[in-house]
Amino acid sequence: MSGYSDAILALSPKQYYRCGDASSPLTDEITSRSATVFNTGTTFEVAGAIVGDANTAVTFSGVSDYAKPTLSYDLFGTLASWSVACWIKSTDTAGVFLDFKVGGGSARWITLEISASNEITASIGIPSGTSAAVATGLDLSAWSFVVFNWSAGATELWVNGVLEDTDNNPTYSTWPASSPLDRYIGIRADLTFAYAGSIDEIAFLPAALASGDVADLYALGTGAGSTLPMRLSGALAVAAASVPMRLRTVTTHAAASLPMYLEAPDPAHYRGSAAAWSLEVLLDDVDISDQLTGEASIEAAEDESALARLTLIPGTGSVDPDDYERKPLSLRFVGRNSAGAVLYSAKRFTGITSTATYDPDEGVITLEATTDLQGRFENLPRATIDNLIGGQWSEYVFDETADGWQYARDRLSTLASEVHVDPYGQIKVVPWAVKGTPDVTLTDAARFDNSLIVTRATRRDLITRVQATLDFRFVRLRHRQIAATLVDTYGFCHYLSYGWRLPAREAIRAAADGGAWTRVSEITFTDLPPIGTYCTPARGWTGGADDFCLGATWLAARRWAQTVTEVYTLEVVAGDLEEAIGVQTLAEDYGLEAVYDAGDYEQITTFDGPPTGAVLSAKTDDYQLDADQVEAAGRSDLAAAQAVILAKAKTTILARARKNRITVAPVYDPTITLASTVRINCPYLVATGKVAGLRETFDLASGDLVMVLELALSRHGGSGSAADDTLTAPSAPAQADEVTSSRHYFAPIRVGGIPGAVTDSDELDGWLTNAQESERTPGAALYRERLVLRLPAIEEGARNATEVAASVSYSVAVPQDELTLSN
Amino acid sequence: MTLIAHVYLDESLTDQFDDASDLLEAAAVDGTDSADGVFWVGDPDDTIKLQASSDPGVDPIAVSIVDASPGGGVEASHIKLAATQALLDSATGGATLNLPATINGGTAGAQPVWYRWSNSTGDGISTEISLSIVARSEVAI
Repeated sequence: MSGYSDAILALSPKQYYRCGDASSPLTDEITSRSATVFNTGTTFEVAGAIVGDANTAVTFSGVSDYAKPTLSYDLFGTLASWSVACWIKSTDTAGVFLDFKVGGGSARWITLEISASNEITASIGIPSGTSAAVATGLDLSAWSFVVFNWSAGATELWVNGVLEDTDNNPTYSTWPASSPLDRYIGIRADLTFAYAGSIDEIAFLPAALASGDVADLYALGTGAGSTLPMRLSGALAVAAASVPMRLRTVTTHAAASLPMYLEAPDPAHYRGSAAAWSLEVLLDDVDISDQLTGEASIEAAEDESALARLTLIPGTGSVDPDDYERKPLSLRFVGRNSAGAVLYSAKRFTGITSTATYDPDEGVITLEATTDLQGRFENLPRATIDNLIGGQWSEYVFDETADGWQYARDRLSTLASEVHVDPYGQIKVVPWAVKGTPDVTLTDAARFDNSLIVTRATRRDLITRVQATLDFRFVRLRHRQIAATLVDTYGFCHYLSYGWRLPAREAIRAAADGGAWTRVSEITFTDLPPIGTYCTPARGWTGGADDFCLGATWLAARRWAQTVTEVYTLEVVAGDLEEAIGVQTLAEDYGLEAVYDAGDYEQITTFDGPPTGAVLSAKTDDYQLDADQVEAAGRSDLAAAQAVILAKAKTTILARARKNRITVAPVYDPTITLASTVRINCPYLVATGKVAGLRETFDLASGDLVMVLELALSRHGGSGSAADDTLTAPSAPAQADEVTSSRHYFAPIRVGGIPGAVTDSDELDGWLTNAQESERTPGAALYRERLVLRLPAIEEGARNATEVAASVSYSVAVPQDELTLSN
Repeated sequence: MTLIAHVYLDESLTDQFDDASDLLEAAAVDGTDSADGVFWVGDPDDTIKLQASSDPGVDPIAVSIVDASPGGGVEASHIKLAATQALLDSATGGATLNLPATINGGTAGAQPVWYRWSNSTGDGISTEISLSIVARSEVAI
């Protein structure tokens, strides 16, 4: 027995003829009954079908020999399905190898036959017809495994494990109880259509074989073995783990109320004659007002720390100046009436003491305090400074490593504003522009005589135009694509006449792929015509030159990077100022470079088209992609830098134009601060300006109050016709037109030995060959046969760094603050 | 003294508001003047974040204007609040300022609160107005 036969027996066959017994070769393995009738011609014990199984087979001659199994038992009864399986090997074109009839009132038969060359038909039949499944295109000269399935009228024919055909006929939907009739192996029941070939392992099975059974039996028979699917479930071993907990505490603070203290002094009090005044000084939240002596003063100016200076008598006992330093200090002015009642108060200074100097002779300590404007900015995060100052900033205009104070000043340099610490200790950014309505108007009655000093800006102080040059450098990725053609210069008929050697396709392909240019398309060859007669007079062409061509064409490309510099000239002009004083120019230079490493772009020679995002430029006829959107110093940074440069230029002009100063000493007014706009309205001078500096002196001994203001006035002296342009960054300058060369390269086919052939030289390109010797013209130039492709080089103009320029001018209107002088 | 958590008078968060000694001060001449001031909401500790206790991370940290004597003197509508000094111009008088729902600790995270008083009530000293900040939770980052 073998694996195959074991498998068959496991399926409980109704009959199973192994065909291997020499004495009784067709013995049913199930009933042990042997077939009878072997006419002359049957060969026994031929090599069997089952690989690795010594069991033999029988071969019928196809003349008249056959086998007839015993009839005395039922075959399939009333089964719902059945299957017949066997192995055959034959070169016959017609012959029935199995024909089993069952009988009764409705006889049926099962027939398996070779119905044509390499064709098997499996049919079941009744007297009125048959139902058949047909397999064609088979190779029956080798052992073939044939399975015929029936199931409720549906038939299947499997050959060598493949379902070759099906049929479904309701007429045969049931299989009748049957009594045995004729059964033949190797011939049809009417003893015609004898089978010539071998047969082995004939099995009648009580159920239709499933596809898996067919495959398994076929595999067992051919020695291929069975397919045993595996299901491998993997598992990852994970060590015990610690799952950390993060428990966050939450501290809750109740809603809080922040009291406000809103002071509204009555101008009638301090602009009249206050009978008395005092200073209220808190040092580290301790009232030291009654220790003051001598003189106290406050000085404040735009963009600077305010300074306070006062003298006090310390308490008795040891004195340590350190106890007075780096302490919060506030100074409040208190106006009182003649009875000493408070009429009004105004905080004038909030800062921190910087030095304390003890005079042992006098027994007094002099304190100096500052609002520490610079120190407050120096360590602030930039985001906080941005919030406090506003303005604009660019690392390509200012120092990226600047400390907080410089950073604040840089931002401030783009604003027409100043910064200071106000009397409450708060940082304030105040516009330079005077208010439409002055906070205070000083008449002669509100100022001291002989205190007016007018200082006008000199020409040297002023700037009428700022000319900023900004270079923006970036890399332009270029990609040139040209069509290369090896031209069929002479045509096929000339070739037939002169018989030169044609260019080989492989040689063209190698040349196209071998140079500095990258081939980016398939090569289209100009084929030779098919065999035939061509040209006039007619000549025969016998073909056989498929490896050659008459010409070829393809696309080739080169890539390179070009440095582009956009040069922007940004001019901000104060026309009104220039009317008055002529041109005073301040020149500034800036630059930024979009950092891009083009090395890879130029080194890579494997590509099949333009780079992603590149567009064909009408200026250069090349594909271009500007690497100007890079992270560092890209075009967005350029736009930001331009905006900063323009704002800074305008601020510079405006700052110089307000260098006009008026110094005045008003009657002390505790509401005047650096944020105030003050108008002076005197018979010989009328002017309005913003307070740029102030000095207050409180003489505690004499009761004198002195306030000196420095007012800043913006003036231009022109007609006032200059407009204030919006400072919009200019568009990128247009790329210049480039002189372009042809984007088509033609390499000719040059034939030596014919009239007109030029003398050979290294300068010649194309396919150089010669007419066959018999056709050569005596004296005509001959060539050293070679293929030379000389695609054009990239012009220097396209490769070298290039520069484009844009120049934009902006008008700025300088404010003309009120100033009238008369005599 | 009672230090008010998360409220500072300076941008460096070194001068914490003390409701026993500190005031949000402003001085403005009647009718013609306005005065601006600023304080900061945040915390020097950059390992925490601040959120409104009502719904942490969702509700804004709100600063509102409270008038102890409505109908006379300085009214809430005379006060404007804004996140920057420039925004005071367009702010609505009396309106609550909603700071972000989360304010990170550290100087960089501090949020300024600008206030402006437009004086139209005459001379004198007014203490009837106060600003109220909602209950806040400190949450570790």
